[in-house]
Amino acid sequence: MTDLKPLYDAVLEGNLPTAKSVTEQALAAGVDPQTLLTEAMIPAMDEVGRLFEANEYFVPELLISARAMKGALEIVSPLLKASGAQPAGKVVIGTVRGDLHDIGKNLVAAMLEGGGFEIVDLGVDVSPEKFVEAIETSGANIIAMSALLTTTMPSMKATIQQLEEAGIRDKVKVMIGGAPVTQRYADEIGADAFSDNASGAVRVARELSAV
Amino acid sequence: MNQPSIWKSDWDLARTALTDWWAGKGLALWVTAPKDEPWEDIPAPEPAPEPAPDRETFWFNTEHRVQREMHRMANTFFGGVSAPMMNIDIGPGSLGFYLGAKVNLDEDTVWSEPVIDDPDTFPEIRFDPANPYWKKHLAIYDAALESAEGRYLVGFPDLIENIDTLAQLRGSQPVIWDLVERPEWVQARIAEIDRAFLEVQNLLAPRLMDRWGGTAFSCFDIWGKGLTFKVQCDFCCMISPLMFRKFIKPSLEFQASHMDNVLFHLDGSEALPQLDNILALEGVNGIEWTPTYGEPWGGDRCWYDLYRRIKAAGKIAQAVFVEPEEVEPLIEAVGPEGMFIMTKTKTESEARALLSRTGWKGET
Repeated sequence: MTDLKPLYDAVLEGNLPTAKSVTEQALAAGVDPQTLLTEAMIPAMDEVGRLFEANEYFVPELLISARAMKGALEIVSPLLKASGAQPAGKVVIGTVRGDLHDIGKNLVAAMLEGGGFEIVDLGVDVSPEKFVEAIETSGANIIAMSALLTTTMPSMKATIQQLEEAGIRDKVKVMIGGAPVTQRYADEIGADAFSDNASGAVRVARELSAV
Repeated sequence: MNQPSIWKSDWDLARTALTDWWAGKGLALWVTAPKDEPWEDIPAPEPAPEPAPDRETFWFNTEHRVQREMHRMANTFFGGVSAPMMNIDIGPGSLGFYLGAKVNLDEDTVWSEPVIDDPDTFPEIRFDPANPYWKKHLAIYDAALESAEGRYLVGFPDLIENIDTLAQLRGSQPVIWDLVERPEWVQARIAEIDRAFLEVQNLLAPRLMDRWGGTAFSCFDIWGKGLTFKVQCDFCCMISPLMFRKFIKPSLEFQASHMDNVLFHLDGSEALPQLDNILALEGVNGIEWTPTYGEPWGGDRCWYDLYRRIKAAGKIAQAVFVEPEEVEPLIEAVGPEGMFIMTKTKTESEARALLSRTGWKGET
């Protein structure tokens, strides 16, 4: 039986060339791509998340691990699609209108992808209308909004209202985050969930997808 | 001749209190409130100036900026160590603008767009006195100083420095990758930014040194004898303590070696893993603590241990956004020495009463 630890370690340590080569070797040895994803890659990113929350890993470490994960994922994704395997969920993500901060959003996107989610990244300065359009066209089940300014946070509420007006609020779960965002604010505007860090966002997205 | 500024009759006392605070010896209580009646002898327009018709006017029209600020100061009671100080900032991070970051004016802030796309071909980061934003900012300075006539303070702007400025020029996420993929490049660029900062500092210092031999730093409302600055590294919340020591510590200590009074702006709980590093910085007198938005503000008891820790390390502390009713419990809990506490009251009489209760010997 192929040892999956080298792939796990390569993702954990952010070693992109090794992550890719070990993935290719494992596939050549007949390992199921779904197994690689669920028993090596995702657990490695879960550990990255744990280390991040424990202040042992920081943003650079998280990003290089996510890059290694992405490199391996690019190899297995076509095989997973061909086999009909489904992602853990599909997330439309963006920084809200008027806000140009992207690093937090990028970290969350990287961690969600590492957690097995399919990501539609709308970038920054995303209007409520654009979020709604992306949900309608992509069929995503989760919308993730980021804001780093108190002055741009109201766009989160505007987006939720836009979802309601479009008649699709009940088809999508809303999660929000960003430095000034709080659980209380999430409750106030009717968001389904809040996370205060990129690693926690994966847990939240899994819970929302399970509902 | 030592003339008191018109808008602060107890400025001599305030300067003494601030000098003691920088030395860790006393309490600096900063209290402002809406003035019951505007100062009569301030030539500020009444009513307030019309809102700026556009963002260019708001940020760069010297007359509009001076008039806005004069109106604000004319209608403010400056109690304790607070002093009339003109805000001359172009958003945070004006050094980045002088060094070539693209500027996007917004209503209440100024955004930067990065300009370093290819790190391998981007030339050395240098300060050019012909930079248009430097020249526009200097015009604001000159207008403020001419209008001041020594009656209010004009402080250093919020230049910002080290890897924060590099992130302004390059983008935050690219800098994170650069730290991993080209660390020597990052170190070299930070050193260039340090040199540019010093060059700008040396150009501004003679303009801003006041008749009391001190300078102010506007956005943090601090004054001290000699060269007075707030420094920061907001980026540090994203990197490990090891990376901080490698990339940031040398830069901050270089800066501090060219300053007399240095306060580090600690921005949010995500930066707290760096606290030991920051407390160990040579030449940095103390820490200003800004809680993350959504957390309790600076006077809450949850931060008492943080202030105690700062003081136990031999540093001074600045507590901001303190509610008036939190001032005395905070002083009681952590002790007055080395504490700078900023609060605002609803009325001038409340401000005076608070100052009286806390033993202020000046205007109460």
